[in-house]
Formats: sequence, structure tokens, C-alpha cells
Amino acid sequence: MILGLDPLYVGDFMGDLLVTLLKVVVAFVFLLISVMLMVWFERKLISDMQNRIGPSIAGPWGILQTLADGIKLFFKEDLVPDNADRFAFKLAPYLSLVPAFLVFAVVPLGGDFNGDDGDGVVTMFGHDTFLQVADPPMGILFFLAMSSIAIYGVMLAGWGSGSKYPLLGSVRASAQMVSYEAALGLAIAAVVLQTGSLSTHDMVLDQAAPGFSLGAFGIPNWNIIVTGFVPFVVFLIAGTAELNRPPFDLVEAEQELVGGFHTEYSSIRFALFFLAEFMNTITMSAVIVTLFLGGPAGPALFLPEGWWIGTVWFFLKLFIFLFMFVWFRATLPRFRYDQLMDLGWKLLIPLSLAWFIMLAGLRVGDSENWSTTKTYAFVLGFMAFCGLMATLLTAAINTARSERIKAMEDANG
Amino acid sequence: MLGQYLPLLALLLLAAAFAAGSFIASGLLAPRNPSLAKRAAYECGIVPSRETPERFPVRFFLVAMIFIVFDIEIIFFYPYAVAFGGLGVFGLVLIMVFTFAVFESFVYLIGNGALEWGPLKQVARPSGAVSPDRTVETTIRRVGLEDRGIPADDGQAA
Amino acid sequence: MLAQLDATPVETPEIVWAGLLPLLILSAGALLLVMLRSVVKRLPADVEPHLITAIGPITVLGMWFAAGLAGTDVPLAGLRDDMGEPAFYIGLALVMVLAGTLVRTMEIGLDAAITVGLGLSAFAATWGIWDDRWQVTGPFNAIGDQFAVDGFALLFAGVLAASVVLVALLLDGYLRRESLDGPEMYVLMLLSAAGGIVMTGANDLIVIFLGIETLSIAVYVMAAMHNRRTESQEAGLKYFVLGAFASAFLLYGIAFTYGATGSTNLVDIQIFLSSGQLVDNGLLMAAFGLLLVGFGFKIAAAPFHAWTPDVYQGAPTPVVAFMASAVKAAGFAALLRVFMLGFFSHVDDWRPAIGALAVLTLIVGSVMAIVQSDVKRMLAYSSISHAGFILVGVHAASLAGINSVAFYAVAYTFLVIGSFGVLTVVSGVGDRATSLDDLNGMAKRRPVLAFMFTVFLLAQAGVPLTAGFVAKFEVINAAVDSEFYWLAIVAMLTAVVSAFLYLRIVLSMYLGTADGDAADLGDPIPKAAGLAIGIAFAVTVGFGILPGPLSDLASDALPALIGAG
Repeated sequence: MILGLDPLYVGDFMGDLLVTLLKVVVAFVFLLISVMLMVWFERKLISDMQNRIGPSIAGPWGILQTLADGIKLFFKEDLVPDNADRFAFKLAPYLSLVPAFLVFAVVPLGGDFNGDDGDGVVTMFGHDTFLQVADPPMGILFFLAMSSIAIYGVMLAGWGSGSKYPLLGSVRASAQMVSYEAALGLAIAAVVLQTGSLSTHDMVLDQAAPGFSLGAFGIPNWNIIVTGFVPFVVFLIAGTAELNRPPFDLVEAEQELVGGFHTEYSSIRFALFFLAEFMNTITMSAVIVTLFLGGPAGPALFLPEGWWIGTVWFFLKLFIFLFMFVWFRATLPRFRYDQLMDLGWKLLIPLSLAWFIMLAGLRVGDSENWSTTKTYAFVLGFMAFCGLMATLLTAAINTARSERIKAMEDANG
Repeated sequence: MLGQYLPLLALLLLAAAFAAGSFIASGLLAPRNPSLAKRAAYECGIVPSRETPERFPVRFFLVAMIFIVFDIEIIFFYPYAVAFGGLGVFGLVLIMVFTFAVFESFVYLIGNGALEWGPLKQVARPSGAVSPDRTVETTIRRVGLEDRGIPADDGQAA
Repeated sequence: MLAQLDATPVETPEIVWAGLLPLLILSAGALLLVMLRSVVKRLPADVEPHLITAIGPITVLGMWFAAGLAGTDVPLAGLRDDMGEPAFYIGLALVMVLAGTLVRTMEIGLDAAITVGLGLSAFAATWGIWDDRWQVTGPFNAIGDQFAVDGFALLFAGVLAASVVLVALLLDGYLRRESLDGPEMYVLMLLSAAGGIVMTGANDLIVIFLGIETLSIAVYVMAAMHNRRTESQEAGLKYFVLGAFASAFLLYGIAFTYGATGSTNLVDIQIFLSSGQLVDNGLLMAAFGLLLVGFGFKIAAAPFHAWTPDVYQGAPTPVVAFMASAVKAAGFAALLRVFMLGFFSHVDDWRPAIGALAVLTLIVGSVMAIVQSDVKRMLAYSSISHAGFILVGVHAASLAGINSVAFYAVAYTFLVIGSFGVLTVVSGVGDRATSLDDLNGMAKRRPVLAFMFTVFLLAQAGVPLTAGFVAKFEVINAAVDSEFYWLAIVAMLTAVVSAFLYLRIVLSMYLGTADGDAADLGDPIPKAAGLAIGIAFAVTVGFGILPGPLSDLASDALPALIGAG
């Protein structure tokens, strides 16, 4: 159990353990409640955008609708199809749900990051700790690892169902998720380059540092600005695709695939997939906030100092992204599958690859004290090179297309 | 540093316990009267006539293989991103060469159609499905207008 | 902690780019070739022939620049001074025109032409380093203390470049006959040869592993490249699975070596071992064993030879030529480097193991070959027995031994490419006609080719006036010099046994009568393949009659370990 000690804790062992468990339980309960609210919020917001009323019966403004749905699902018959691979079928919901919970553990939720002594440490019952469940040194890699495991949940659900639509839905989902995972990873790499650390706490600390100032206004040192906006956009798009949310929700394209990979699931098993999906939306928003918008570190402004101010900032930013995801769903039509693949592979990956190298070059130039001329020469030269490579890529795409057309013409005579 | 993994373990157990608990609760609360129709694979009301599919288009498999290669290559960026400060221009040049090699294999894949999806507009258009006099508004063939002497569109044919 | 990481600069190795030139030409050329061909798949019919013709002069220029960049002076400076500048440059222009004409008459494809050009440029670069840098300054390190440039590495790099050129010439006609056109095979071969060059100069076990994997993985794919033949697929898979297994052994051996000596660098290992600090050498013995298994697999030494017949039979014949020449040569170069340089102080410990391997390989190779009825399988076993001969040279563990290994590797490369080259052109579509009966009456159908094949086979048997004889002689001489008479006797006896095999093929070519439906009808062979076989023939006979130059070259080519300085 010595391993269990947080290096920041001082004091008695039981106290440490209690603080750890408290944080875990709070995060757990918080996630469950926020999923409940998120489902309600999404339904309510979409109904407003579509001139409907939306849930309104259960509780004030229908806020307990999700709870009612959840309880209803407990009383529904739990079916396992005859053709199912029973082990995989039963394992899949766990593999979807557990990673969704775990990712949230590395997200910093609060703490005071402003001022000279703002290191995000808070004191809980006499124990110094961070307002995040865990701060492992691999931090953001943990997020990538968990999102990869979630793919297994989807794949096993489709494979284990022993049915056509789930299988097709799950191979689509896996192909989509892995395609965008590469772009996601590259966008994160750009942030890591900026921060020099994989730990999420260090990332927030880095972004809390005073940034570039324009006269009276200080521009925060957030990664969305210092990494040049492109990784943020890539991450947002890839993240939406990772979540299988509109406009990338081909996985459950009702017209083609019924419910997608969870067509055969009923009762509580379906509820767990549903829960995981919305939980992923929340954690993805939280990760975006952490990576690009400084997490709990907001501009100091005129606000009083205190640990709660970080939490307020965090939830404010989180809310923006949750709203955005719902907005996407209400506004954007679904992609076609080939458009989805083309966007991921042929645009996002090369773009983020090039952006990573350019950022790396600028950072190296910074630490080697390149002159302005040299920096400009590097940027211009690199951009020219990228232009050449883009031409090459376009040529390759055109070649593939014309070869296909030729093959088809040959086949048709 | 390992101390930071205990909360993760605790959360893992809690989440798994939550899922298991839900199953148990549902097992106690839910009715249980399965029938053949309920247990059959769902095919929108049609009785499944064929065996469970075990094959799916090989393109998905191809994407998975390409992904593995790319993900490994991208993972190499992380150590560099953490340690680039000490490596200086040497490291920059090396990572650029590495990226070029990644990109080059990417061009090869794309050039050979490994990531070609979707329809071919130029050839694959089946004759007759699309009206010859389609308009800018719609490409759908208007059926039943031919013999009535009604012009198919108002002259906006594209 | 992070701030510290930023502040401490990591020590970056010093790189001598000229020493890496052959490697760079092959690998960068492969990358550019695949990039070019994935964008431009089809050239207009009126452009392509001219472009291919242009490759000739460009190759000459490429060789010129490669040799110049690799060395320190203008290439052929002595010749230029003798002839006077104008005459010399006019001569160069003439050579360029000649090269263009040659390419045009050879009627080879674009990919093959580029590959040949790259191979020749790499060869020229190797020559440039040899002549103008290594002979002036002596051996040096190209990357830190990881990659050495010495005579031994250069000789093997030259062998690899030459085999790339010859096999590319063979591949051109073969791929067209089997309608497998595409740049992939050439690219893989170039990458594989690049891996081989890494192996020949590596001064660190990890770098050797890197090279061996680059070399092998490309060859696995090449073996499976004939995608309409099940045998080819089978060969690729077999080679891959067993090769991966052998790589694991090798890696395990590297780990044990590290455990025993505390380093993977050959220089450090040598210093540590010769200082006699190692008291208990159990770990080191295990490392020797595991490394030998790993290398033994790559060079197809018995008892790790089981993949060889199947893979040689199934893989496309030009690929077999590459496997038997380049892969084997690179494997021996790495083996010799590790054992003769890194582990030399413990020679008495590893020598018996190599001796046992050599005897077993010789016996298995020659005896098993006799009962085969398929020529590709026969030659597979014969290549096993050749590995045994080279192991005899390694076993001698002396300067003469190293020289004989180098000589054997060079001579065998040309012999085996020639032999498999002949098989490539006579085996018919789909590599079907490779049984002994299919060769019946070949002397009537193709007298010239049959004669050349006979010479290659006699050279493999070790008949005088061929390079094969000199090679075998030197190896046995080395064994005798080190007073291992029993091994020399085993080698000579097995040579007699395997002579029977070669004579069987020759007899069937000259005395057998073809039945009506022979697969090979004696159609004209592709000109490029003819050129490759001709070159191999010339080298085989040339070095058989006048072994002096190659012998001198081989005795210059000594491996050297240079510390970080």
C-alpha cells in the first residue's frame, strides 16, 4: 500500500486513503449525475432548436426524465440472441463503460492556478492534494489508451451479437475511430511539444503562466493560441468523430444500420452503452478544455482568489463545449462514409503532421536563439516544402481515382 | 509516482462494480420470458434466412492494418515532443526525415487506392436512374411526365 | 525536472556523411522511387522510352557524382591527368552516350532502369570511399561509434550493390513475364540491400539487429510477391514465421551479451572481454549459442536450414537469387564482425560451436541435395553446403580465414545469381518448369545458356579455372593453416559428394531428351537477363583464371573496430 501514497500527501496513512477514496467517489457520482443532466440538456436544447417542447413531465422542466428512463430500463427484459458469442456479448458493455469513467480521472477539475504561487494545490482536511482524481506522469497517454480500449467495446459488441447490422455498424465504428485516432494523437503531440510534459496537471500549469500581453490586455497562454489554433480544430473534429456524435454518427445511421453496434442490446446492457456514450461526450469536452483552454486556469481578471474559482472556470468552459456538441447535432447533416474517411486520412492527418513539424521547428529555433530572419526562412521553406508535398498527395489521390476508373472501364468492356 | 495509480485502480473497481451491480439489479427486477422471435437476430421484422455473417468487406481490415502502422509511427512523436529541447537541430532534422518517410508511405498507400472509398461519379452512374433532364434542384427522374406533354422542367436543365 | 530536461543537451553523434553514401543512395532512392511511382503510374507511350533511355547517361553522371562525393577528389583523377582534361571529359560524354544506347538496346522498364542506376551509383560510392577515403585515412566511424567504414564493410557493401544491379536486370523480364509489373519489388530489394549495408558496418549489436530486420522484412515480402502462386505465398509465410523466430533468438542473444558484458557496443564488449574481468562466463556462452542460432538461420546453416528448400522453391526465382547472394553475404558479414571482433578473446569458446555447425551444414547440404528432383531445391541444398564452406573459413578465425570468407562471398554471389538467372529464364511462366526433367535437352534448345549454366554448376562444384575453385581452395587453405585438418577433410569429401549433384544437372541438360510438351520452348530470353547472366559468367570465369585482383581486394578487406575516439 506504500505505492498508494500520493507524494503530495503528508500525514497519517488512513487520512491519505480517505482523501483518495473521497476524490474517487466524488468523481464517480459527479459523472453519473452530469450524464443524467447532459442527456436532459441535450434533449431540451435540441427540442428548443427544433421548436418542440421536449421532456417536460418528469420533475421540474422534465429534469428527471433521464432518471425515469434509466429506471424503466432496469425493468426491461434482458435478451441475449441465440447467435451471440455470449462471452463477447456480455463483456462489451464493461469495455465501453469502464474506460469512459477512467478518462475523467486525469482531468484537473479545479484549484487556484493564478498568481505566483498558483500551483493548483488545495488543502483537504489538512492534506495537500490536487483537485483531480489522479495525476499520473503519463497523463494524456492514459486518455489515448482508454479511448483505444473503448474501440474494443464497440467491436466486441458488434461481433458478439451474431447479427448483420451490428457487425456492419461495429466495423464502421472501429474503422472510423481508428482513422481519427491518428489525427487525435498528432493534435495532442503538438500540445505535448508546447508543454514538454505528458502530465495533465503540468499542462494546466503551463497554460496558467502569463502569456503574451497586448497593452492592457493579457492574452492567456492557452494552447489553443500558442499552438496556433490548427491542432485545436483538428482535435475538435477528430474528437467528435471519436465520440461517434453527429455529424460523424454513421455508426448508428438508422436508415442503413438500425441502431448500429448495439442493435441487439436491450435492457440495462443498452443503458450502459448509452451511459458510456454520453459520459464520453463529457470527458472529451473536459479533455479539450484541459488541453487547449487552460482547464481550471482562467484569466485572473478582478475575481477573488480561491480554489473554487478554478472549478467555476472549468465548468464554464466545459459547458461551452457541451453546448457545441449539441449544436453540432442539431445543425450539421451526417457525413457520407467516404467523405468521412477522406476527411480523416487525406486532410486531418497530413495537416496535423505538417503542423507538428512546424511547431517543433519553431520551438527548436526558440531554444537555439535563431535570428528572426532564420526563423522566417525556416517557416517559408517549410511551407514551400509542404506545398510540394500537398501537390504530391493530390496527385496521388487523382492517380488512385483514375486507376479505379480505368479498372472499372476495363471490367465493363 | 506510482502513488498516482491507486485512484485509477479504485475508480476502475468502482466503475466495474457499478456495471456489475446494474446487471444484478436488472436480473432481479426484469421479467424473463424469452421466445424464439425475441432471441433471433434483429432484421427489421424479416425472419433471418442466412447464417450469421462472419465476413465483412476487406477494406475495413485494410484500414485497421494501416492504422496500426500509423499509430506506432505517431507514438514515436511523443518521446520527441517531450525531449526535443535537448536534441536541438539534430533532433529536428531526424524527426523531419522520419516524418518524410511516414508521409512517403502514406502517399504510396493513397496512390494505390488503399484509402479509396465511395462511389465513382464518372462511371458508376447507372443509366436510367438519373433523369437526363435533371435540374439544378434535383437529379431525381420525374416518372410519369413523359406522355402527358408536360415539360419535365422549366428549362434549367444542368 | 522538465526544465532540467530542456537545459541538458543530449550528446548528438558525429556523422561522416560520405561514409554513409552507399546506404543513403539505396534507401533514399527506394523512397523516391516508390513516391514517384505511386503518383505517376502510367507514362505516355511517346515519353516513356525516351525517359528510360535518359536513365543511362543520368546513371553515369550519378556514379560520377557518387564517387566524387564519397571520396575527397574528382573521381578518376589519375586517368584525367594522364589523358588531359578535354580528352577525358569527351571520353566521359562518350561513355554517357554509350550508356544511353545500352539502356535502349536492353529494352528494360523504367523501374528496373532506375534500380540499376541506383545500384551502380551505390557501387560507385563504395568504390569512391574505398579508393579515395579508406585507403587514405584508414577505417573510420561514420555515425558516432555505431557504424564503421572499413575495408570489410566496403567490400560487402560493393557485393550488395552488385547483386542489386544483377537481380534488378533479372527481375525486369521476370516481372513482365509473370505480369507482376510494379515498383514494389525493386523498392523492397533496394531497402533490403540498405539493411544489408547497415549490417556489414554495424559496430553495435542493436544496429546489427536493425539492419537484419530491415533486410529480412523486405525479403519476406519479396518471397510472397508472386500473388497468384500458392507456393510463393507459402514460402513468404514460412520464411516470415521462422525468420521472426530466429530474430527473437538473436535479440535474446543480444540481451544475454548485454547481461554478460554490460554493453551492446562491439568496441566496449571487446575491451571488456579481453580485460578478463568476466569470471563466470555461463551467460556469455548462452549468448554465443543464441546469437549463433539467429545468424545461422539467416545464412541457412544446418540445423537451422529447414526453411531453405521450401522457400527457395516457392519464392520467385530472381528473389531466390537475391536471397542466396545478398542476404547470405550480409549475414556472414555480421556474423564475422560480431564473433571475430567482439568476441575474439573467447575464440576457444565459440570455435567448437562454429565447427560443429560447419560440419553439419556441409553434410546436410551435400547429402540431402542428391535425393532432390527439383532443380531449385537442389540449388537450395547446394547453397546450404556453400554456407558450410564459408563457415569453415569463419572457424579458422584467422586473417586467412577472414580473407577466404570475403573471397568466397564475392565469388559465390556471382555464381549463384548466374545459376538462378539461368533458371529464371528457362523455368517458363509461373516458375513451373523447375524439375530436373524439365531441363532435359536444354543443350539443344539453348546451347549458349546451357554452356553457361554448366560453367556455373562446375564452379559451384569447385572445378579449377572457375572462381568457385579458388574460393573453396582458399577456405580449405585457411582451415589447414590453422591446423584443422579434420575439417578440411570433411569439406573436401562433401565437395566430392555435391559434385555428383551438379553433374546430374549437367547430364540431364546434355544427354536427356525432352518429351514433347516441354515447358521451355527456347524462345529468345529477355536481353537484360542475358546481360546479367553474361556479367555473372564473365566474373566467374575471369576470377577463376585470374584470381589475383579479387584475392588482393579480399586480403585488403579487413574488419576493424574503432573506438569512439
